[in-house]
Amino acid sequence: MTIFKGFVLPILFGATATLSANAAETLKIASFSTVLTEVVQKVGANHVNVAGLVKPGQDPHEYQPTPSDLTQAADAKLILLSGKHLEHYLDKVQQATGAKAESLAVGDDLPTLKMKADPDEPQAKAEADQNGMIDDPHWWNSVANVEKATIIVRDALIKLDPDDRADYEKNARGYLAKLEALDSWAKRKVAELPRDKRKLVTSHDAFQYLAKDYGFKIYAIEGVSTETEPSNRHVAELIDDIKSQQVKAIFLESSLNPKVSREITRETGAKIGGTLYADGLGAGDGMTYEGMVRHNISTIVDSLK
Amino acid sequence: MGGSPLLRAFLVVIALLALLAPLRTLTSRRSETATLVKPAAQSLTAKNKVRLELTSTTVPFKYQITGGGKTIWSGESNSTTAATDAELNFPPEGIDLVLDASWNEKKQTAVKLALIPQDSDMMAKTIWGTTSVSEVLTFQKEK
Repeated sequence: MTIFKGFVLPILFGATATLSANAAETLKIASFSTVLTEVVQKVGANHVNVAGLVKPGQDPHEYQPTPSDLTQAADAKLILLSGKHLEHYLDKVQQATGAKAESLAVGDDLPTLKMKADPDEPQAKAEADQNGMIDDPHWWNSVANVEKATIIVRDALIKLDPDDRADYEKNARGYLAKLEALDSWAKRKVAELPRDKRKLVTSHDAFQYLAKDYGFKIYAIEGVSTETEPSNRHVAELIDDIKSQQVKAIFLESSLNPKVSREITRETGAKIGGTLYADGLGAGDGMTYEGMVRHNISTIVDSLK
Repeated sequence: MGGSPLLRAFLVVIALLALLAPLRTLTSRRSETATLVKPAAQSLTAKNKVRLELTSTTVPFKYQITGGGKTIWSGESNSTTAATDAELNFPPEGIDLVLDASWNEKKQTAVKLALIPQDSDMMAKTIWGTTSVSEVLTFQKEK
């Protein structure tokens, strides 16, 4: 008993105190983007406690926060959002958090490409400009954009926790070096494909940013949303394009029903090149950002060669 | 040339049948050649004769130029400029060439790759490195 009081108890109390101190010191972060969840975990490391509310493989266009998600968001010091109007449920998050936590729509500080709003989708229609265009929210399909996002997240963490600035800067440098190497690899891999063969037919218009970085032309089966079906006229035009451009393969996306894509392959003779991760991280290769990019680029290049 | 007319007719039929097999082979071979020639002719028209010139401010330097996943030109040069002729597919969208070069001395070095197609003006890109360079360079003819 003496040993228990004199030796074990102080150790137990000490360990508990250390754990409490660590828990108090870590920043609670809620992330509504699978890619930003990875970024903040890499940059924040042991200084952050991240709740990834949109899970890998979940379609962010269709995601709706659960009461439990909103509770976690309300507890967070920082809420990370994809931005570019992707989070249609933003008002719910703001009501739940009482605007206590700092919300950072990372994508809003990144370069924007425009895309045609889906006229069948009321939300997109409401956000469209006079030319019927909206911001393309799929910025994460550009590695260069994720590099910029890493810097934005790093600066946000430093603002909230300036004492650990050196760690955030060091972690961000390490992650940025990996992203730069990934971008170089992607450029070399894409260079294997002649520029006149860089025609990307996908089942959802999500790869504009990738196309801009690596010189692809996009032929999308659908518009911005995964919730709507393409019109017969659009499918017929696409079939003509695929035939005239002699496109060898078309690509599906992990979160979509591939029915329409399969119909198009039957009409055109193009093969299904594979499944791409369009809307963020997913199961299998796409569990990490690097794995996702390597999978997408390799699948596209190897199928179109 | 004696014998019955029936026998002679029979011999003629046998001779014709014997010729049938080689004739068929010859005919089908000719069509096979035609199919092979067609894509070759197409690819020749699509390819452009291009002069490649590589300049490095540090010598000697090793280099490799890759296009479409294949090595187009590689070697080592003791002079600041190396050159060769190549046939490249040059679509209107442009061409991506991967330039890898390295040298022994640790020194800021500029490496320039120039492309001189027969039918258009020279295009050149310069990249910098301390011991090596490795980059994808895009060249597009002016429209």
